[in-house]
Amino acid sequence: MRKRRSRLTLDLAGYGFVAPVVLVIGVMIIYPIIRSFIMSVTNWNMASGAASHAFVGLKNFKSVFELSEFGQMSKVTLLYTVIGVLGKMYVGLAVALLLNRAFRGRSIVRALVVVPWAIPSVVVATVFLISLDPTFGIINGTLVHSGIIAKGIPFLSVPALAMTSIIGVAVWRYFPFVTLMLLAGLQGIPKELYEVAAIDGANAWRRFLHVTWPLLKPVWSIVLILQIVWTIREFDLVYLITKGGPGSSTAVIGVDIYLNAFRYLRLGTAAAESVFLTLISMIFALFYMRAVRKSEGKS
Amino acid sequence: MNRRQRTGFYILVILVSLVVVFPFVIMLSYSFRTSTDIFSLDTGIIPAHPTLHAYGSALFNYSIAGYGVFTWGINSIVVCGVATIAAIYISALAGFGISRYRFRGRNLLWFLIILTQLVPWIAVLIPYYSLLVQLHLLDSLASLGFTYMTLFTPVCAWLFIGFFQGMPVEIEEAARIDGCSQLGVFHRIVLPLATPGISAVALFAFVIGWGDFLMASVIIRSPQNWTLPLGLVSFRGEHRILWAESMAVASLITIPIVALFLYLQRNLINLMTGGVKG
Repeated sequence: MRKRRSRLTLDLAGYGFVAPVVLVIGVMIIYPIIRSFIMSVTNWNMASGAASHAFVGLKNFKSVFELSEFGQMSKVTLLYTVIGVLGKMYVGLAVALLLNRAFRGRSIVRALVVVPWAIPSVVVATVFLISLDPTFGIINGTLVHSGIIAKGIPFLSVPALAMTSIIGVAVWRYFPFVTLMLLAGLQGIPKELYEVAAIDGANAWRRFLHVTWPLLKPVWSIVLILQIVWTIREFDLVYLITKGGPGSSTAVIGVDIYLNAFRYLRLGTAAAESVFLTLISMIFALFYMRAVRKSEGKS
Repeated sequence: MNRRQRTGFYILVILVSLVVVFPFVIMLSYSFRTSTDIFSLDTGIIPAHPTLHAYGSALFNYSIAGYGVFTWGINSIVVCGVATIAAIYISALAGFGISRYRFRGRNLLWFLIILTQLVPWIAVLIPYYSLLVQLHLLDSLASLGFTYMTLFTPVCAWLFIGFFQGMPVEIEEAARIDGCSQLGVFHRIVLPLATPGISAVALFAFVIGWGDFLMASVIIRSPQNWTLPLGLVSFRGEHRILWAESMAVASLITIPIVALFLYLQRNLINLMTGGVKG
């Protein structure tokens, strides 16, 4: 009887500990999500400031999907996400495998890998904007100076080049996260397994395929899902480097929402896009939970 | 590895190191020039005429409507600092609650906390912004601080759950037997023991706000309330771009953070790998 009672007070204390965070999540996540669902079905206009807004049903969604820009925006977002995520994951894996070996100076290199991750996006964007300038940028400057090319490459004013450039910057900025996570996973693999595989005569590639990969896969899936969600919603880097341009060739969904809301003042459209993005993210959140549960079951 | 393989391996390692620090070096390199140097095509990594001119002119001569880098720096430090402290306290409570107590709705809450990491800010921004408009809370540092606090809290809670799960419970139990209250255990035993974790979580939270452009650009209007990222972006005006000065400010924003990251590296990585894997 006594034991049961103390259990009960413990449980209630749990509620006390989490109450503030519940409030915060309510204000910042639950309420805005509900509100954006409501906004997306009304003709909300920031300028009007009216307290009530007429219900328009799915008109905003319809107008979003009918906009010719929607096709362009989805194409750009998909391209940016797929290539960006693949780049981050594989560069991250390659560097993790490189740093998993014991060598002199490893701890220094591993410390350096943290650098891109520590630099704020707003700084990264400014540095690359300057470095990529066709005339005065250090990259073109060096290439022209050394005679490799005759004229500076207009990295940010040609659509395909602009896309390539921002994906490149994004890969540089975010691969360290992948590397550090995978490196932690690699170091959890028992050394004996490699020794056994080596005795069996497995070469490096076979050892990777049959020992490393199966054991790394749970971490890989988790990191992959996180990278997909974090890449789909990219805003800072892209907006601050290209503002979505030239034209709308780099206007990924995050940038598009921002422009619709704060430049063109089409709040309903922006809200409809937000709902769309939220739903996609939630689907991946479920995948994430599943991947986490699976990796916990294994370890 | 034979000799050739080893040479190849080290070349790769050096290449990776160079790529990783390259933009950081460019930033520093540009900051020690004048904008005239940059426009006169002095594009070497080492400036032809190294000078601190850009730092001086960015700090003392550059201002928008009478407010400059010092104002924005103080705004950034205060807003991010206060938001971090508040977020740390709230999220440590939550992390402790979730990792130590079994209660109904615990898993749901955990899911919600993870969901907050996956739902994009940009998606909650529009409704949140319209709420601030209705409440007349735009253009205030207090609003920005509150926003940061609410954004930091779930990330920190996520990291704290993993951290507290890795912490032994025996000391807490001993304290409880000695008659320490639930909250007393948290304040007197858990928080002091968690210092390494707390410093890393705090850094995590702080840099989110320190580098944030999105929220600040939406919430803040007048230059007296700007934070450093807004100030930095303003160096790139419509008509003139103060490149050297912007790189000087970028360096001032970045160097302390990079130094702290390197210093707390091990803590950060342990925390992150513990948190992300649930």
